[in-house]
Amino acid sequence: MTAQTILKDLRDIPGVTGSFVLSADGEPRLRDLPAIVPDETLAEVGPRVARLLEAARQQNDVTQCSLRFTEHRMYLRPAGPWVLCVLSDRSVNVPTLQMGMTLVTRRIATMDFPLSAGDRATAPSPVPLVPTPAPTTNRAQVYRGRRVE
Amino acid sequence: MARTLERDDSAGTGFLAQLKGLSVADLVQMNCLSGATCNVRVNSRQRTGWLHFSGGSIVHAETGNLTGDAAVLEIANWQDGTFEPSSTERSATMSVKSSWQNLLLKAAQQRDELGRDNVVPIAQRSGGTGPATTRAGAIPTSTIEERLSPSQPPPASGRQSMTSPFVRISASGRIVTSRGEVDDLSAMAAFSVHLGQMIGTHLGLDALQGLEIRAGKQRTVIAVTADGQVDAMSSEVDSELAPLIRNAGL
Repeated sequence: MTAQTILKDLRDIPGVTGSFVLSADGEPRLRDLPAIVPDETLAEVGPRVARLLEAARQQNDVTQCSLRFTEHRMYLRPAGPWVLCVLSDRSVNVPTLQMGMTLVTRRIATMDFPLSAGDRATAPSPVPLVPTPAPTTNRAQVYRGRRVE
Repeated sequence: MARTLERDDSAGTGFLAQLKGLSVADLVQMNCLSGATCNVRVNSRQRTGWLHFSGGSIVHAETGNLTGDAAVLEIANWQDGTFEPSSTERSATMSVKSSWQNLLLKAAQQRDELGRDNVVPIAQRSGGTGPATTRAGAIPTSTIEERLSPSQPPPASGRQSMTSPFVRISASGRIVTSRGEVDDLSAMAAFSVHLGQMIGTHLGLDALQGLEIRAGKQRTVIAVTADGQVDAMSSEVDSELAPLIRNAGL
């Protein structure tokens, strides 16, 4: 069973939009997300997810973090050196998803997802990797109080 | 709005008193419970309002551009000033629709909600020597937990309520109220909400309503209120977190 298949299994759960796997420092390693989320966006999201988990870790390691948006939910679950991230809508059956995530984290915890284009190709995204500008690219750059084009 | 005034023939009887420490609510209660028919002018700072009582009810009120119920609510929330009989005029307008009891309850609720941001954090109080006050200067911090709005978790009974940290942070990052040691919790909550919002924005998701973090037996629940305030609580006891979980939609 490939890692990609494991992620796809999560989509069997009604309400799951997709999932992806990050390294501990937020590098996207594997994805099973709709085309609306380009790789560039994931590259922006990954480090923030990693920082969120790092900030949340106090005395104990975080076992799960869930974010509730108005219509969506996002679940983050550390799995060995990786972080499993699952996007769902609010209608998802949470206990079912929890079980699904437990199975996935158990499997990916011991897997290796090296960061290279070749490896990405072996774990193909279900969507074409169309480069789109990340949300921050239009932001004006400011250096010492002056706007830099 | 035209105001119809007529002479109040009942004026001129009874005591003219000077009492300190009364509130407008006290005035309303006294007049209504005694079935009074009179007019009272209320002055507070630069504001003036009129309350007209008839047979134990408030029948008309006005201040500025407000009349009726809205004027009563406005006047009832004035914190200091004076009131005096305005015996020469009585309004024939019946602008007040609600009962005086209902109006006083509404005024108290409004006052609570308006003063919510003025509560001094307990953390700041702990180092002080005197009684804590609010910026508004009137409400002791011992009432903080009574002042928690329905959107906040009610303090649990027993020892747990004293040990589980809770913090409310304003949209600008100021601690509005807190319970227990919240230095780490407040920083973590504010930072996590910030990151959560960024993650949501990048992924094209809608507004962040809350987060839940599980670390060992500890659960931390963070709820983002409609006005941007952040409530956060850490506990090992699920029942303590339940109200916040409900608010955060988790």
